[in-house]
Amino acid sequence: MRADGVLRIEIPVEVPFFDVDSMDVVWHGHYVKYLELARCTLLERIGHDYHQMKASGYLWPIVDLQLRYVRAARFGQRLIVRADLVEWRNRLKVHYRVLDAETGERITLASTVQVAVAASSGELQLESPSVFLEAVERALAAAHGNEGTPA
Amino acid sequence: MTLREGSVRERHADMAACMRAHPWVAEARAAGHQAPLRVALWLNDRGIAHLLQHGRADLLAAFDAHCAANGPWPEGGFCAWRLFDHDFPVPEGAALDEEIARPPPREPWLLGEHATPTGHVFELKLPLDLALFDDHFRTAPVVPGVMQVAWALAFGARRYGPMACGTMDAMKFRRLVRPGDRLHLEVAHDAGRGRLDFTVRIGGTLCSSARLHVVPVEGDHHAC
Repeated sequence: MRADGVLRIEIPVEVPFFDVDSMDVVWHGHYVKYLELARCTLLERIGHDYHQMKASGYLWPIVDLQLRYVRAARFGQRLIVRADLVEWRNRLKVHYRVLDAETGERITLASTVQVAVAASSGELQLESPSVFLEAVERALAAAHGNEGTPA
Repeated sequence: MTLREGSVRERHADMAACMRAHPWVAEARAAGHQAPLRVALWLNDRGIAHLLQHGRADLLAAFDAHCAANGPWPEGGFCAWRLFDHDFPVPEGAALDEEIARPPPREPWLLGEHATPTGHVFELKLPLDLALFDDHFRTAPVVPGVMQVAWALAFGARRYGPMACGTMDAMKFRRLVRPGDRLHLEVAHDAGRGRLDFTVRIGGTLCSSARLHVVPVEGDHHAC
């Protein structure tokens, strides 16, 4: 069970030909790209995309990735990739669901964890940088209308 | 009870009375001249138990429902909630307005400190609405282990100067640290060996301990 987050985005993905293997299904490694696309959109929604992240002086490497394959996706299939912001204060944890756009059937479940690292020194940050926390709080305020405190 | 139009003071009094009627609330105060109405709640034991068992989001949803059932907002809006327990006395006048206007705290309150034969003890109180409980976890508020390390470094720096942590070992987490807990954080610095040992205890019970390998640095430094 992957919890819903306090912020959610969804993006459409149509499975391209070059993602399909000789068994006519999406090769398992390609789903990571779909997660990345969704995560980029989520970060844009937060107001802290990869350009802003780099400019802030902190990098956010992936330190954990989990995928569970429920059903196979095929060439041309229209998918919805959903990303939920689950944790942000000490690490950036995102939950994903890849769904069939027509039926809503679950294709893949996933989660990623990223931690902030100072770009200049490579040092791990035990708390997320203020610039990121403030961006999340602004996004939550816009989404929930309660000054960044998720209800 | 219906929240009626009236002076700001009357609206605050109505709101506080409305929330005092909730079975989880021991005391309530309101402040603010425009939306969101800022409301501070002092939870009783039942309220704290609900917070610990179900998390902040569920608790606030219940309060929102209570408000919705007991009258419309004069502003037609929502509330910004602050949560306290009996360890935080109800401030009066301007102090109340200032406290309610603050966002949820990001650090524990420092109640006191004293030296020990081996190190230094900081007596800490975890506010019920410590910001980190927003996401860790949404339905079961628990202090993440990494924050206990961060606090050891931050409070250790007050006593021994800023330091950076390179590695850590002998790390043990034995008991959950949760909203409202009063902690004894003991730090012991061995400058010669570059070590900062810490323990976190609640009422004598060991919650966590670790040995951090540190080097002195200039300025604030919480990285590890």
